[in-house]
Amino acid sequence: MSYPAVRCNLCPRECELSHLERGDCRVRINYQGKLISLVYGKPCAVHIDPIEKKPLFHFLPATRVFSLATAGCNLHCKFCQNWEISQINPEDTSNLTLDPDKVVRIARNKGCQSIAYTYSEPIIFYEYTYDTSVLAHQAGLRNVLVTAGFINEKPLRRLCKVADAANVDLKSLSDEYYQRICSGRLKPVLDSLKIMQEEGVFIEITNLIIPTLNDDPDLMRRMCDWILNQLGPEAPLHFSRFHPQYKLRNLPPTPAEVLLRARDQAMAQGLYYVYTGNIPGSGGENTICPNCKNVVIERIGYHVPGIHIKNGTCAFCGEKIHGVWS
Amino acid sequence: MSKPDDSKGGLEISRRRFGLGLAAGLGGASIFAKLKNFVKPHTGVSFHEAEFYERIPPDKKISLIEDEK
Repeated sequence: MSYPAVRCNLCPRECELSHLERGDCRVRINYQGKLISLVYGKPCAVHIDPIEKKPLFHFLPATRVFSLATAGCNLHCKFCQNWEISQINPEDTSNLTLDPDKVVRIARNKGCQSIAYTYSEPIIFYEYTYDTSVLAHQAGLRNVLVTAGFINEKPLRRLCKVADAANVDLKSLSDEYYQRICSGRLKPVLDSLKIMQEEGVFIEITNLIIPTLNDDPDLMRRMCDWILNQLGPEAPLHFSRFHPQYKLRNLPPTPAEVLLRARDQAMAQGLYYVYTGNIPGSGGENTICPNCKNVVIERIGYHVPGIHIKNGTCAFCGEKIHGVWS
Repeated sequence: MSKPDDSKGGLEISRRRFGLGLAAGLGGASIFAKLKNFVKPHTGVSFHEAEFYERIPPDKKISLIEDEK
Protein backbone atom coordinates (compact mmCIF):
# COMPACT_ATOMS: atom_id res chain seq x y z
CA MET A 1 0.00 0.00 0.00
CA SER A 2 1.21 3.46 -0.81
CA TYR A 3 0.84 6.31 1.66
CA PRO A 4 0.90 10.02 0.94
CA ALA A 5 4.09 11.99 1.30
CA VAL A 6 4.00 14.99 3.61
CA ARG A 7 5.76 18.31 3.81
CA CYS A 8 6.71 19.53 7.26
CA ASN A 9 6.12 23.28 7.51
CA LEU A 10 7.64 23.77 10.91
CA CYS A 11 11.06 25.04 9.91
CA PRO A 12 12.56 26.57 6.79
CA ARG A 13 13.87 23.21 5.63
CA GLU A 14 10.32 22.12 4.83
CA CYS A 15 11.33 18.49 4.55
CA GLU A 16 9.28 16.38 2.15
CA LEU A 17 8.93 12.93 3.55
CA SER A 18 7.73 9.63 2.20
CA HIS A 19 6.21 7.00 4.43
CA LEU A 20 8.61 6.07 7.24
CA GLU A 21 11.07 8.77 6.33
CA ARG A 22 12.07 11.24 8.99
CA GLY A 23 12.96 14.88 8.74
CA ASP A 24 16.34 16.48 8.98
CA CYS A 25 15.65 17.10 12.67
CA ARG A 26 15.51 13.33 13.29
CA VAL A 27 12.37 13.50 15.40
CA ARG A 28 9.49 14.04 12.95
CA ILE A 29 8.50 11.15 10.76
CA ASN A 30 5.92 10.43 8.10
CA TYR A 31 3.93 7.47 9.24
CA GLN A 32 1.16 6.41 6.90
CA GLY A 33 0.66 9.91 5.62
CA LYS A 34 0.67 11.60 9.01
CA LEU A 35 3.54 13.60 10.42
CA ILE A 36 4.42 12.18 13.80
CA SER A 37 6.57 13.64 16.57
CA LEU A 38 8.67 10.95 18.19
CA VAL A 39 9.65 13.03 21.20
CA TYR A 40 6.43 14.38 22.66
CA GLY A 41 6.75 13.89 26.40
CA LYS A 42 10.10 12.16 25.97
CA PRO A 43 12.89 14.44 27.22
CA CYS A 44 16.40 13.04 27.35
CA ALA A 45 17.78 15.80 29.59
CA VAL A 46 16.05 17.35 32.58
CA HIS A 47 17.66 19.65 35.11
CA ILE A 48 17.06 22.59 37.35
CA ASP A 49 19.37 25.43 36.36
CA PRO A 50 19.94 29.00 37.38
CA ILE A 51 18.30 31.27 34.81
CA GLU A 52 21.73 32.83 34.26
CA LYS A 53 22.85 29.60 32.62
CA LYS A 54 20.47 30.01 29.66
CA PRO A 55 21.87 32.75 29.57
CA LEU A 56 19.16 35.22 30.53
CA PHE A 57 20.52 38.13 32.54
CA HIS A 58 17.52 40.46 32.38
CA PHE A 59 14.77 37.98 33.11
CA LEU A 60 13.92 37.00 36.69
CA PRO A 61 17.55 37.04 37.85
CA ALA A 62 18.72 34.59 40.49
CA THR A 63 15.74 32.29 39.99
CA ARG A 64 15.62 28.61 39.19
CA VAL A 65 14.40 27.35 35.87
CA PHE A 66 13.22 23.84 35.15
CA SER A 67 15.06 22.91 31.95
CA LEU A 68 14.43 20.11 29.53
CA ALA A 69 15.36 18.88 26.10
CA THR A 70 14.61 16.06 23.74
CA ALA A 71 16.95 14.52 21.20
CA GLY A 72 17.32 16.13 17.78
CA CYS A 73 17.95 19.49 16.16
CA ASN A 74 17.17 21.13 12.85
CA LEU A 75 20.66 22.61 12.59
CA HIS A 76 23.93 20.71 12.53
CA CYS A 77 26.50 23.07 13.93
CA LYS A 78 29.99 21.70 13.78
CA PHE A 79 30.74 23.22 17.16
CA CYS A 80 27.66 21.92 18.97
CA GLN A 81 28.41 21.27 22.61
CA ASN A 82 25.33 19.16 23.06
CA TRP A 83 25.87 17.03 20.00
CA GLU A 84 25.41 13.89 22.04
CA ILE A 85 21.72 14.67 22.25
CA SER A 86 21.16 17.08 19.37
CA GLN A 87 22.74 15.02 16.60
CA ILE A 88 21.22 11.70 17.48
CA ASN A 89 17.94 9.92 16.93
CA PRO A 90 15.51 9.87 19.84
CA GLU A 91 15.48 6.09 19.95
CA ASP A 92 19.21 6.22 20.68
CA THR A 93 18.93 8.40 23.77
CA SER A 94 17.61 7.36 27.13
CA ASN A 95 14.37 9.19 27.58
CA LEU A 96 12.03 9.92 30.38
CA THR A 97 8.30 9.78 30.08
CA LEU A 98 7.33 13.24 31.26
CA ASP A 99 4.03 14.56 30.02
CA PRO A 100 3.41 18.32 30.05
CA ASP A 101 1.29 18.26 33.20
CA LYS A 102 4.00 16.35 35.02
CA VAL A 103 6.66 18.84 33.90
CA VAL A 104 4.63 21.69 35.29
CA ARG A 105 3.87 19.90 38.53
CA ILE A 106 7.51 19.05 39.18
CA ALA A 107 8.67 22.55 38.23
CA ARG A 108 6.26 24.08 40.73
CA ASN A 109 7.14 21.61 43.45
CA LYS A 110 10.81 22.41 42.97
CA GLY A 111 10.26 26.13 43.38
CA CYS A 112 11.06 27.05 39.80
CA GLN A 113 9.58 30.24 38.41
CA SER A 114 9.95 29.23 34.81
CA ILE A 115 10.42 26.34 32.42
CA ALA A 116 13.14 26.42 29.79
CA TYR A 117 12.99 24.48 26.56
CA THR A 118 16.66 24.29 25.90
CA TYR A 119 19.90 22.30 25.47
CA SER A 120 19.02 20.94 22.01
CA GLU A 121 16.36 22.90 20.08
CA PRO A 122 12.80 23.52 21.32
CA ILE A 123 11.56 24.10 17.79
CA ILE A 124 11.89 20.46 16.89
CA PHE A 125 9.85 19.35 19.88
CA TYR A 126 7.36 22.07 19.09
CA GLU A 127 4.15 20.35 20.20
CA TYR A 128 5.67 19.33 23.51
CA THR A 129 7.02 22.83 24.06
CA TYR A 130 3.69 24.44 23.20
CA ASP A 131 1.45 22.18 25.26
CA THR A 132 3.75 22.40 28.27
CA SER A 133 3.91 26.17 27.92
CA VAL A 134 0.14 26.48 27.96
CA LEU A 135 -0.10 24.48 31.17
CA ALA A 136 2.83 26.39 32.66
CA HIS A 137 1.03 29.68 32.16
CA GLN A 138 -2.07 28.29 33.78
CA ALA A 139 0.08 27.36 36.77
CA GLY A 140 1.68 30.80 36.96
CA LEU A 141 5.04 29.78 35.52
CA ARG A 142 6.90 31.56 32.73
CA ASN A 143 8.29 29.95 29.60
CA VAL A 144 11.77 30.39 28.20
CA LEU A 145 13.01 29.31 24.78
CA VAL A 146 16.69 28.79 24.18
CA THR A 147 16.76 28.50 20.45
CA ALA A 148 18.58 29.09 17.22
CA GLY A 149 15.42 30.65 15.83
CA PHE A 150 15.38 28.53 12.67
CA ILE A 151 11.62 28.26 12.36
CA ASN A 152 8.88 29.33 9.98
CA GLU A 153 6.78 32.37 10.73
CA LYS A 154 3.41 30.75 11.35
CA PRO A 155 4.49 28.26 14.01
CA LEU A 156 6.74 30.87 15.57
CA ARG A 157 3.95 33.41 15.98
CA ARG A 158 1.80 30.77 17.64
CA LEU A 159 4.61 29.76 19.97
CA CYS A 160 5.24 33.40 20.87
CA LYS A 161 1.75 33.57 22.40
CA VAL A 162 2.93 31.30 25.21
CA ALA A 163 6.62 32.24 25.36
CA ASP A 164 7.79 34.87 27.81
CA ALA A 165 11.48 35.08 27.05
CA ALA A 166 13.99 33.70 24.62
CA ASN A 167 17.69 33.53 24.25
CA VAL A 168 18.29 33.36 20.54
CA ASP A 169 21.58 32.11 19.24
CA LEU A 170 22.66 34.46 16.48
CA LYS A 171 25.62 32.52 15.23
CA SER A 172 26.94 35.09 12.79
CA LEU A 173 25.68 37.72 10.43
CA SER A 174 27.11 35.73 7.55
CA ASP A 175 24.79 33.51 5.54
CA GLU A 176 27.83 31.65 4.25
CA TYR A 177 28.76 30.82 7.85
CA TYR A 178 25.28 29.54 8.54
CA GLN A 179 25.38 27.31 5.49
CA ARG A 180 28.91 26.02 5.88
CA ILE A 181 29.16 25.61 9.65
CA CYS A 182 25.57 25.10 10.74
CA SER A 183 23.74 23.71 7.71
CA GLY A 184 21.28 26.55 8.05
CA ARG A 185 20.49 29.97 6.68
CA LEU A 186 20.74 33.42 8.21
CA LYS A 187 17.60 35.18 7.02
CA PRO A 188 15.04 32.99 8.82
CA VAL A 189 16.91 33.59 12.07
CA LEU A 190 16.90 37.36 11.61
CA ASP A 191 13.22 37.20 10.74
CA SER A 192 12.54 35.18 13.89
CA LEU A 193 14.26 37.75 16.06
CA LYS A 194 12.09 40.52 14.63
CA ILE A 195 8.93 38.46 14.98
CA MET A 196 9.68 37.57 18.59
CA GLN A 197 10.24 41.21 19.44
CA GLU A 198 7.07 42.19 17.62
CA GLU A 199 5.10 39.54 19.52
CA GLY A 200 6.37 40.79 22.86
CA VAL A 201 8.74 37.98 23.75
CA PHE A 202 11.63 39.26 25.86
CA ILE A 203 14.79 38.56 23.88
CA GLU A 204 18.44 38.20 24.69
CA ILE A 205 20.97 37.23 22.04
CA THR A 206 24.00 35.01 22.25
CA ASN A 207 26.86 34.99 19.79
CA LEU A 208 29.44 32.25 20.12
CA ILE A 209 32.77 33.58 18.94
CA ILE A 210 34.88 30.91 17.30
CA PRO A 211 38.50 31.66 16.44
CA THR A 212 39.08 32.06 12.69
CA LEU A 213 35.44 31.36 11.78
CA ASN A 214 33.36 34.29 12.96
CA ASP A 215 35.72 36.49 14.94
CA ASP A 216 36.28 39.03 12.22
CA PRO A 217 35.81 42.46 13.85
CA ASP A 218 34.02 43.84 10.80
CA LEU A 219 31.54 40.96 10.80
CA MET A 220 30.88 41.48 14.48
CA ARG A 221 30.47 45.19 13.93
CA ARG A 222 27.83 44.50 11.30
CA MET A 223 26.04 42.12 13.61
CA CYS A 224 25.92 44.70 16.38
CA ASP A 225 24.65 47.27 13.90
CA TRP A 226 21.86 44.93 12.92
CA ILE A 227 20.87 44.36 16.54
CA LEU A 228 21.03 48.07 17.25
CA ASN A 229 18.92 49.03 14.26
CA GLN A 230 16.41 46.19 14.31
CA LEU A 231 15.99 45.39 18.00
CA GLY A 232 17.26 48.53 19.70
CA PRO A 233 20.13 49.41 22.02
CA GLU A 234 18.51 47.73 25.01
CA ALA A 235 18.67 44.20 23.55
CA PRO A 236 21.10 42.25 25.77
CA LEU A 237 23.92 40.59 23.86
CA HIS A 238 26.13 37.79 25.17
CA PHE A 239 29.47 37.03 23.55
CA SER A 240 30.23 33.49 24.49
CA ARG A 241 33.50 31.63 24.59
CA PHE A 242 34.01 28.66 22.32
CA HIS A 243 35.31 25.38 23.70
CA PRO A 244 36.61 22.81 21.20
CA GLN A 245 33.82 20.31 20.68
CA TYR A 246 32.28 17.89 18.23
CA LYS A 247 33.71 18.51 14.76
CA LEU A 248 35.74 21.55 15.67
CA ARG A 249 38.20 20.06 18.09
CA ASN A 250 41.04 21.38 15.98
CA LEU A 251 40.36 24.98 16.97
CA PRO A 252 41.52 26.58 20.21
CA PRO A 253 39.20 28.08 22.82
CA THR A 254 38.38 31.71 22.20
CA PRO A 255 40.95 33.93 23.90
CA ALA A 256 39.37 35.96 26.69
CA GLU A 257 40.71 39.19 25.24
CA VAL A 258 38.78 38.59 22.00
CA LEU A 259 35.53 38.43 23.94
CA LEU A 260 36.36 41.46 26.03
CA ARG A 261 37.30 43.41 22.93
CA ALA A 262 34.06 42.41 21.23
CA ARG A 263 32.14 43.59 24.27
CA ASP A 264 33.92 46.93 24.29
CA GLN A 265 33.28 47.39 20.60
CA ALA A 266 29.59 46.51 20.87
CA MET A 267 29.09 48.96 23.72
CA ALA A 268 30.97 51.63 21.79
CA GLN A 269 28.55 51.07 18.92
CA GLY A 270 25.67 51.85 21.24
CA LEU A 271 24.42 48.60 22.74
CA TYR A 272 23.67 49.09 26.45
CA TYR A 273 23.95 45.58 27.81
CA VAL A 274 26.76 43.42 26.47
CA TYR A 275 28.21 40.44 28.30
CA THR A 276 30.98 37.92 28.01
CA GLY A 277 30.12 34.31 28.71
CA ASN A 278 32.21 31.39 29.93
CA ILE A 279 34.96 33.55 31.38
CA PRO A 280 33.79 33.96 34.98
CA GLY A 281 35.32 36.71 37.01
CA SER A 282 36.20 38.91 34.05
CA GLY A 283 33.66 41.55 35.04
CA GLY A 284 31.96 41.05 31.71
CA GLU A 285 29.04 39.36 33.41
CA ASN A 286 27.88 42.37 35.40
CA THR A 287 24.94 44.49 34.33
CA ILE A 288 25.92 48.13 34.23
CA CYS A 289 23.45 51.00 34.33
CA PRO A 290 23.66 52.75 30.96
CA ASN A 291 23.19 56.11 32.69
CA CYS A 292 25.29 56.23 35.87
CA LYS A 293 27.57 53.28 34.98
CA ASN A 294 27.15 51.64 38.38
CA VAL A 295 26.90 47.86 38.55
CA VAL A 296 23.23 47.08 39.06
CA ILE A 297 23.53 43.29 38.93
CA GLU A 298 26.73 41.61 40.08
CA ARG A 299 27.47 38.15 38.76
CA ILE A 300 30.24 35.63 39.23
CA GLY A 301 29.55 32.74 36.94
CA TYR A 302 25.97 31.77 37.69
CA HIS A 303 26.13 33.27 41.15
CA VAL A 304 24.37 36.59 41.66
CA PRO A 305 25.75 38.23 44.80
CA GLY A 306 24.02 41.57 44.31
CA ILE A 307 20.97 43.04 42.60
CA HIS A 308 20.57 46.80 42.78
CA ILE A 309 17.41 47.22 40.81
CA LYS A 310 14.25 48.62 42.35
CA ASN A 311 10.97 48.47 40.48
CA GLY A 312 12.83 47.95 37.23
CA THR A 313 15.09 50.95 37.73
CA CYS A 314 18.69 51.51 38.77
CA ALA A 315 18.89 51.78 42.57
CA PHE A 316 21.58 54.44 42.19
CA CYS A 317 20.13 56.87 39.64
CA GLY A 318 16.61 55.70 38.81
CA GLU A 319 17.34 54.88 35.16
CA LYS A 320 15.01 52.25 33.72
CA ILE A 321 16.81 48.94 33.24
CA HIS A 322 15.44 46.86 30.39
CA GLY A 323 14.15 43.51 31.57
CA VAL A 324 11.53 41.41 33.32
CA TRP A 325 12.28 41.70 36.99
CA SER A 326 9.28 40.16 38.72
CA MET B 1 36.96 25.15 35.24
CA SER B 2 34.49 27.25 33.37
CA LYS B 3 31.54 25.58 31.78
CA PRO B 4 29.93 26.51 28.53
CA ASP B 5 26.51 28.06 28.66
CA ASP B 6 23.68 26.07 27.28
CA SER B 7 22.55 28.27 24.43
CA LYS B 8 25.69 27.07 22.77
CA GLY B 9 24.80 23.64 23.69
CA GLY B 10 26.60 24.13 26.94
CA LEU B 11 25.06 21.21 28.73
CA GLU B 12 28.05 19.04 29.21
CA ILE B 13 26.90 15.50 29.27
CA SER B 14 29.46 13.72 31.35
CA ARG B 15 27.67 10.43 31.04
CA ARG B 16 24.24 9.11 30.53
CA ARG B 17 23.13 7.41 33.65
CA PHE B 18 19.76 6.10 34.57
CA GLY B 19 18.33 7.66 31.49
CA LEU B 20 19.41 11.20 32.16
CA GLY B 21 22.28 13.17 30.76
CA LEU B 22 23.76 14.63 33.87
CA ALA B 23 24.89 18.20 33.54
CA ALA B 24 28.11 19.37 34.98
CA GLY B 25 28.45 22.89 36.17
CA LEU B 26 26.97 25.13 38.79
CA GLY B 27 23.27 24.79 39.13
CA GLY B 28 23.24 21.73 37.01
CA ALA B 29 22.56 19.38 39.86
CA SER B 30 20.65 16.40 38.64
CA ILE B 31 17.22 15.98 40.03
CA PHE B 32 17.08 12.44 38.84
CA ALA B 33 17.03 11.08 42.34
CA LYS B 34 13.82 12.97 42.93
CA LEU B 35 12.44 12.48 39.46
CA LYS B 36 12.65 8.74 39.65
CA ASN B 37 9.91 8.91 42.23
CA PHE B 38 7.67 10.30 39.54
CA VAL B 39 8.78 8.72 36.33
CA LYS B 40 10.46 5.64 35.07
CA PRO B 41 13.44 6.27 32.78
CA HIS B 42 13.71 4.16 29.70
CA THR B 43 14.64 4.33 26.09
CA GLY B 44 11.70 4.94 23.87
CA VAL B 45 9.89 7.31 21.64
CA SER B 46 6.35 8.56 21.54
CA PHE B 47 3.91 8.71 18.70
CA HIS B 48 2.17 12.06 18.70
CA GLU B 49 0.69 13.64 15.61
CA ALA B 50 2.61 16.77 14.76
CA GLU B 51 1.28 20.13 13.69
CA PHE B 52 2.28 22.26 10.73
CA TYR B 53 2.45 19.81 7.91
CA GLU B 54 0.58 19.10 4.73
CA ARG B 55 0.11 16.12 2.50
CA ILE B 56 1.78 16.28 -0.87
CA PRO B 57 -0.47 15.43 -3.81
CA PRO B 58 0.41 11.98 -5.19
CA ASP B 59 1.19 13.37 -8.64
CA LYS B 60 4.04 15.42 -7.22
CA LYS B 61 7.11 13.24 -7.20
CA ILE B 62 9.60 13.57 -4.41
CA SER B 63 12.99 12.03 -4.66
CA LEU B 64 13.23 10.31 -1.34
CA ILE B 65 12.99 6.78 -0.09
CA GLU B 66 10.55 4.46 -1.71
CA ASP B 67 7.24 3.77 -0.02
CA GLU B 68 6.79 0.42 1.54
CA LYS B 69 4.50 -1.77 -0.49
